[in-house]
Parts: sequence; C-alpha cells; structure tokens
Amino acid sequence: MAFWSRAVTPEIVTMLKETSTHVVDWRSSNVSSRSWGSSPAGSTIPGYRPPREPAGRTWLPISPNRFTPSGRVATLAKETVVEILDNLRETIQRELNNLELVVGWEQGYDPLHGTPIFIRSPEDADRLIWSPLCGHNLASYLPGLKGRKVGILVKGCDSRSVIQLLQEGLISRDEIVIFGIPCRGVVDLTKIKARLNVARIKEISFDDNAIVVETDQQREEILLDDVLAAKCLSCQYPTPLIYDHLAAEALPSQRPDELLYQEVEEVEALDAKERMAHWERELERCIRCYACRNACPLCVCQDVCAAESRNPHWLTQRTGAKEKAMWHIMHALHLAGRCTDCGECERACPLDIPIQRIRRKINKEIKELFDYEAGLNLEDTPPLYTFKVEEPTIKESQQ
Amino acid sequence: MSTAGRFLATDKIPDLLKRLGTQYHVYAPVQASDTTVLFQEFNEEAQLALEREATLSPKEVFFPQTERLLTYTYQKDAEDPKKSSIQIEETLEASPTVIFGTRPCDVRGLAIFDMVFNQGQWVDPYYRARREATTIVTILCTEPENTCFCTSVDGGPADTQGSDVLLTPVTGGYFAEAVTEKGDGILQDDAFVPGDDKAQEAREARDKVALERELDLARTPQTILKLFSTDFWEQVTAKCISCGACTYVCPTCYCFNITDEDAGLGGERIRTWDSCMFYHYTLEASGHNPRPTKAERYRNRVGHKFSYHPSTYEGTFGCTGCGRCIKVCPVSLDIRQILREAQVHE
Repeated sequence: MAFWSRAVTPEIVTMLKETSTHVVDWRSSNVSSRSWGSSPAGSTIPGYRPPREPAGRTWLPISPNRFTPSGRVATLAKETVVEILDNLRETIQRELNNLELVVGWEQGYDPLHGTPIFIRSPEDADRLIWSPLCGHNLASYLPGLKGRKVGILVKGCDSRSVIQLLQEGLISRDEIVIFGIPCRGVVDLTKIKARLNVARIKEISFDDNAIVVETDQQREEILLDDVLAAKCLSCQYPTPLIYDHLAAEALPSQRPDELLYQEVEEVEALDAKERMAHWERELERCIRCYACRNACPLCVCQDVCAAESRNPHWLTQRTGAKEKAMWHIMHALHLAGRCTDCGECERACPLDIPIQRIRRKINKEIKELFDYEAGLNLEDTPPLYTFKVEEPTIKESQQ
Repeated sequence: MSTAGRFLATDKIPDLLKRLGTQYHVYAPVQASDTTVLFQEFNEEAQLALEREATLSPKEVFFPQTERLLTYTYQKDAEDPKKSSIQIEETLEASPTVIFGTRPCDVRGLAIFDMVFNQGQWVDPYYRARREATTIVTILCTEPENTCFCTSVDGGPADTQGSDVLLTPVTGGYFAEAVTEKGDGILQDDAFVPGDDKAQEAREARDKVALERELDLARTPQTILKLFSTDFWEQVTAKCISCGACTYVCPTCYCFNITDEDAGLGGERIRTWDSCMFYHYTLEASGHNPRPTKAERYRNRVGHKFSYHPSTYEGTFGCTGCGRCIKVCPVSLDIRQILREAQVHE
C-alpha cells in the first residue's frame, strides 16, 4: 500500500514560511531527539503562547497565521509519519510498564477503515497507524476506563474532549498518560462514499494534498480538502492542548475560523418551514440506535440516559421524525457549553445524518451568549454549570 | 415453478413499479441521501438504487420499527367513579405488498424471522399477516462487497431461498425467473418480455460469482459456550461503544420492546425495536442487570447468532453474512474477526 507517497516539497515549506513567521519546518526538525518527551510547563512552542495564567499542562494556541493559499494545505511528509510512528511506538512501549493499556488506531477490515486498538503489549504497538483515517475520538473511552491507568492518543480536537472530561471531574489526570499528535486533518468517510462506491475498495494512498482511492473498477484521485471532515476545514487547534508526550513539532492552525459555523448559518438562513422540512427529511432516516450518543465523549449518562428510561417514561419509544428530533435536541442541549465540536456524533451515524449541525448550533449560541468554547482550559467552568450575577456578554443585565 | 425465463430491461423498471403500485404497496431500494439507500415505498420521484446493498435490510417492511398492536380506552362509570371499564381494539394492518430489489442475504434474514415468528407453537399474527401478503423480487449478487460473508453462514450470492422472483443482472437489464406462483403473477406484467436469448448469459453470470467461504464455523457453537465465562469477551469488545447500530441494520435481529403510550383516558400499545446491546434491554425491575457491561451484551449478540440460534433451529445460524453490522459500526468492529479469534480457542 502506497502511503504518503510524496514528501512536502521545499516549495511548500517556502510558501508556508513566506505567509507566516510562525510556521515550523518539520522536515528539518529532528523529532526524536528534540520535541519528543514530556512537555514542561511554560515551554515555548513556536507560534503558541499560554492564554492567561498557565493552567496545569494546558496551552491555548493563538493562531496568527490563518491562511489557506489556493486551498492548498500540506499534509505531513511520509518521513515525518514514519518518525511519528516510530516515536509513538517507542514511547508507548516504555510507558506500558506503568500502564494497563494504551488506546490508539490500527488498520481496520479494509484499506478505507481505521479502527481503535487497545494496546496491551509491546507487540500490539507495532500495529499502530497514523493517517487521515484515524478519525475516531478515542477520548470517548476514557470515562469507561476510569480507575485504571491508561494511555491515550489524541489529535488536537480530541484533546479538547480530554480537557472537558477533566474539567468536569469525570476522569482523573493522574490515571491517564496523553500521547499528543499534531494533526492536519482526518477524512470524512461519508464524503468519500458520496463520490464513489467504496464497497470493493482495494487500495488507498495519501499525498500532500490528495487521496487516491482504488476499487476493482476505478481509480480516483480526490483533493484532500474535498473529503476532510468539516471540523478539520475550520480547525483552530491542530496541536493537542494537553499532553504528556508530543509526537512531533507543534503545528499552528492553517484554517480560517470563519468556516466554523458555515453549515449552521446555511440552515439558519432557511425560513422556518424550509428548516422544518430539512430536518424532517434528514431525521426521518434516524433509527434511534444511539450511535451518536455512545460515540460522544461527553455523553456520560450512557446507561441511565433519559432517552431510554422506562420509569419514568420521559420519552416515547415511537420513531416518528418528531420523536427523533426530540432525542437530538435533548442530546444537543445536554451538551450546551460542553460540546467540543469533535464530530463523533456525526461520524458514528450509520445513516449519515448531518447531526453535528444541531450540536454546532448550540455551540454557536454559547459562543455568542457567553463568549465560551468548551475544552480549551482546565480551569474553566462550563457556563451552564455556574452562575454570574452579571454576564458580561448578555445585554439585558446591563440595562 | 419453472416457467421460461423472461427479460426485464432496466429502463422499464420504474414503469413496472408504478403499475404494480396500483395493486400493491411497492417497496424498493431508493437513494435516501447521497450515501444511504433505504427500502422505501416507491414513487415517481424516487431514485432507484439497485446496484448496491441497501444501508438497512428490508425487515422494516415486515417488522416495523414502531408498530401499533392495539388501542385502548378507559371509560369511567358515571354512577361509581371508582369503577372503569376498558375497550380494546386490535389494529393489525397488512395489505398486498411487493418488495423489489432485495438481495439473497436479505431474504435469508426473513427465513430466520420465519423460524421465530411464523413457525412452531407460537406465531406472531402481525408478522405472519405481512409475510403472507408480500411478494419478494430478489436480485442475485454478482459483485460481493468487502464485508460480505454469506457463504460462511451457508448462504450464497445466488441463493434462491425465500424469494418469489429471481433477477440475474445481464446486459441491459435482468433475466427474470419465477420461483413461486406469487412470483409468476408478477412476471405477467408487460415489462417482462421473452428472455430465452439471455438465459445463457444469466447462467454464466451466476456461475461466475464466487465468494470464498472465509470462515469455517463448524465448531463455533461449542467454542462460544466454552468461552462463556472467560475474559475473552472483554478483550474482543474493548473498542465496542455498545450502541445499537449493528442490531438495527441486521436482517435477522428481531428483538422488540412493548410499551403503553398513554394519552389521557386512552392510549396505544406499541411494539418497537430493541437491542441487546443496550443496558436497559436486560435491566430487571429489581434493579439487577445480568448483562451489566458491553462484554456480556456483545457475548449475547455473538452467542445468539452463532450458538444458541443454531442449537434451537437445527443448525441454522442467526446471521446471513450481509456484513451491514461491519459497515455501519462506528468503530469498525468486525464480527468475522471475533469469530476467528474464537476459533483460536477451539
């Protein structure tokens, strides 16, 4: 299987450098000796500075260079991936002496699918992969592993879930070892499936900015940007905000944040009737399998979820569009101020319903009302978990 | 039935379904979104998607996700308010139906439903009524997917069991053969023309389909019992997130829940799909739960399909190898892999 077949060219590095003074040249960095290892509090990561008082091991990256020149965003060079994997394996194998297991990704049942792996032995670590197929947010497993000493691999976005879980006291910092990986985006399989029939996929390979999918009948080269997850196209935090080990040099954000609520704004632009029709059409497919709930790292009620409770019988078990909408609204509201926009709900949906929009709409409201984004700082409290006599961003209180 | 084969041109299918729609409810796989195909009642706007396996099996047609079993109304006694009577009305709805474009594994799923709902001492009248009112037109598979393993569970891409009409893809359309009298009735439609010249091509297409039997499950029923009280299940289900996707897309999963939906002095009793992957499925009134974690729940899923079902129903696995559970799993948990891991302990 060809993999990351083209390295980042010197032109791309030059281009990146010209556009910003904060870009790291990962080609010239010796990952294994310099950036690998525990991150000391207060260390200077190029392009990053602590937001306010340094809070524990958390850093809030400021992204001075939001740019997408001609839509071209470089992915990691093959050599860098190999280096990342080598370093991850070595560090995991070392840490396994103190850990019961480490959760990472391995190749799934066919070339298109990555899948989580629970690494329990040094040999297991050899199965680890790192590619745009590593979309799963492994932080979802952490609440279920509470009380056990485990390691976890996180991308930038996943790290926000970890922070949120720590913030809420749902997991303990001293029970987990976090292996952070700076990430340039993961693919949304739904977008690939929409372009070609992947039922008989034979091979997949990644380029700087393209993905090549081969089935028994066709070979298609797709621009990576066309199939990256929506969250990646507006990613502000490619480098984990919390970690014990960082697998490569930190990456600054390369994406414009204007895209963050684009989908939500599109739906908002519809009039009430059209909006209702949109959601009826989409949610009609929902089968109430609760994959969205169970994949969600912040859905911690799980076994005692009100959606399934029989006594009291909060929600009917009927499966009309309205009942399904009720479930999704309930999910979104329970996540208000807690959702980190990781997109696991939508990624998990077997019917490919764009349900992340509902969660994002609430995130947008929280941002506008409280100027708050979840999962950025360990010391924060979700706005709905607390009370302020004066909310600085709510005009009413100033009248 | 062995009437001579007929030919059905691809471009004649929408008209055929429209005509059938005057006598039957017609369900066919239609494009429900860019990436999902569902069996839905056919209408003129629907975009048929006959080339690939549907996202969900057609079990919904026989076993709706929500089904009203009866309605009830309480009536207070005007003389004595402490007394009330109840009126119950059964609501069985079944009308002539055609399902067009099922796959052999989908239909095999119905054969497994039949064993449970339509044979033996207890028969489910709701299921039976729909099953008997339905004619099934199946398309044989010529291109098995990466996730297909029907041959490992005694099925096959050209399996005819349970179908009324068989369609074999040939140039420009399908070679059609009736398997039952009901199926013969469908073939009377004008869309079907004499197809003798396509018989040879159809035979060749069928012979060409090859799906290697990748699993030998002969000893699996015993192995699963042997592994019952081991930590095997915790190990192999570590990445499972215990959602119900695998059970709801499955053509053989038939578990349900019954609830009374009250509204004032009346209400309705509904039956809805339930999933053994859910905590509430086995939660007892006392608060005790015999399957408290995903390991016990997944053990039940695999055990039921590959051990308990075959031991109750003469060796028939409760799985058709359609591979949907693998495809929709949010973490790509592969039931084939678990069966292979179990084989290590034979």
